[in-house]
Amino acid sequence: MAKRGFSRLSGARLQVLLAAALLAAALAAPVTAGEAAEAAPPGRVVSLVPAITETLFALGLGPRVVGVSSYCDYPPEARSLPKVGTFSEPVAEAIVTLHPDLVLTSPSPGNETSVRAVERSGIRVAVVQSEGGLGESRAAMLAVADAVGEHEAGLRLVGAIDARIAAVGARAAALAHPVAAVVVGREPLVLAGPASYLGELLVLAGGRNVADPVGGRWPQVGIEFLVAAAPQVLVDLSIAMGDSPRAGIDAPSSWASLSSLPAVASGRVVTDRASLMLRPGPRLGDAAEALFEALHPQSPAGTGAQAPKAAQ
Amino acid sequence: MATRLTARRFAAGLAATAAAALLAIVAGLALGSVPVDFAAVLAGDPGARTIFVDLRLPRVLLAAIVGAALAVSGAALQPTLRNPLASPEIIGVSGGAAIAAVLGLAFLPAGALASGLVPVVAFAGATASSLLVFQLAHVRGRLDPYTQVLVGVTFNTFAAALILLVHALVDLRRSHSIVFWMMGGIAIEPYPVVALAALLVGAATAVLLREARSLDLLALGDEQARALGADADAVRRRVFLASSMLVGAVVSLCGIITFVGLVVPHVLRRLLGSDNRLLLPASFFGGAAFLVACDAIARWVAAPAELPVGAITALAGAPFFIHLLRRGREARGGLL
Repeated sequence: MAKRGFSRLSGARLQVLLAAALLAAALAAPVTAGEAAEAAPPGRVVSLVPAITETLFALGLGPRVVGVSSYCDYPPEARSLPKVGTFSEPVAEAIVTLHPDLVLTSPSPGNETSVRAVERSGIRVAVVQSEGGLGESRAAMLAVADAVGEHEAGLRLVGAIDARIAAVGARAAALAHPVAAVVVGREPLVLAGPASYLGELLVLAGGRNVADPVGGRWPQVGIEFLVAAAPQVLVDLSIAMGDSPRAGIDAPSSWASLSSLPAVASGRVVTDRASLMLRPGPRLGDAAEALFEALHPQSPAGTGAQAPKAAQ
Repeated sequence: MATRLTARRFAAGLAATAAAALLAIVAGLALGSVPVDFAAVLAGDPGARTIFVDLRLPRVLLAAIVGAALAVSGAALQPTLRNPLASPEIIGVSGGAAIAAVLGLAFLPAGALASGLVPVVAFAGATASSLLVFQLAHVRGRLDPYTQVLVGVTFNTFAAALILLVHALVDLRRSHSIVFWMMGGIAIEPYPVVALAALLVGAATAVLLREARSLDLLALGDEQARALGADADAVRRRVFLASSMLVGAVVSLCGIITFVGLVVPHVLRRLLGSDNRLLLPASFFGGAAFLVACDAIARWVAAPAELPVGAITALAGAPFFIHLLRRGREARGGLL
């Protein structure tokens, strides 16, 4: 009897754990389309994933997007489109009401039942796998292009992004390689690992990732690990990820209390352009340039840094 | 456990649990997600000092305070409520703290969250809910133990429902921090906060220790206890209010940490007997030892990752709890 109130709280805790897992999944980049075969061009498309929405617009299909998730905020035109819930909790009725002939999403335990219900109602659904590396991000953009019958445009888009990333790599090669960390969550402390697109971009942009010895995509580490690794540059994306942790040393503004971190002591904690870096889509070239600027503030900034519409 | 509590057994029990706490603290300071070079700490190396002085030491101290508070309040609540399942979480205080914290996490401006306001809000919620449960648990002017348990459990269930509701309504950013708060864990707080927690926990523990003799008498039944000079109702009020303060202080800082308050008193009752004059201070030290050890394991076992301490306490606690239930069926009187 006494345990009942307790197990209710535990239920809530499980729910929240699930939500945290979904958050991690949302971070990850899409990979292969379920039905990658080139299909007839759809007239009305709904996207449940911010990076997929960006890809559709970058492919020039913006006018055909009729519904997006509530997290799809780029490009600005996407903000005024009807919202159909979130990536992890899409609302089937809201999707069906828009009469799409294609729904694009990534797998998530939270959206499976809704997505299946949409599929049963006769709407074509393309599930673009979620993974996390640069290669997977590329594959996801190509899969989206194939799903909307824009194979060639997809190749051009990915080619343009690759060219910009390669240019960043070429500039960085000759420069010093500072030790750096990309923080994607503060509580718990989660870093961009070597197998994530951010980990790959960090190295390409001329950084030595403190998370390399840990491995993986999004390794969780203790704060002591970060202090011991002594990064010279700290890219903190956790505020854009929405962490507003308990208190004290974990508060977003309180890197200052870790003054023994070289990055903190020399004022090289970078928090701007975080939402850009958290989108493994057409703006990956911009993300690479943003990381380059964070790592090499003295060096001339990336050229043409603000063009999202890479290939059209 | 009819064995009489002699001065010798009292001293031995207290010394053993205090030694366990000390040992756990040393282990907790030695283990972590990275090895610390203690020579470098003493030599003043800034990185090593930050890890040891700013991060590890306050966390170990807070774990000791939290474990001690939860275990001593569980030890006092079990005989007070005449319920072997009584633990600090069931008196409703943690539910109140959780509601307040979650509402704060959901609706406070980001700046207020960053400034560490959530524990303050949670403590206010704990205080308000303990006063509410205190009022609701009165039957004909007396604090009724059965009503108290039922009101506390019901209140926690209500709190959990409200939390689910708030969690469903806020955006992803806020819901993430709510999730994290609900998981519970030993926070790294600045030293003044650790000192404040120690002060609150010390004061409330002193109140409980003074009731130890009366709690023994309560086992004889309310009438018998009164004949021997213990006003059962007054004892229950004092234990309830002191426990509320303990739980409020702990939950506001670290969220809900399970099993410590339930399991530690039961283990010690089996090892040391049920005399509350020994059991309460032994639970204080034993709880500190258990939680510091669990937190050290959580920080070290998957290094450099840190596991949630709740996972470790429950992994250790749940099988024991089942075992206790099975044993309790055979030797019922032994539980309290």
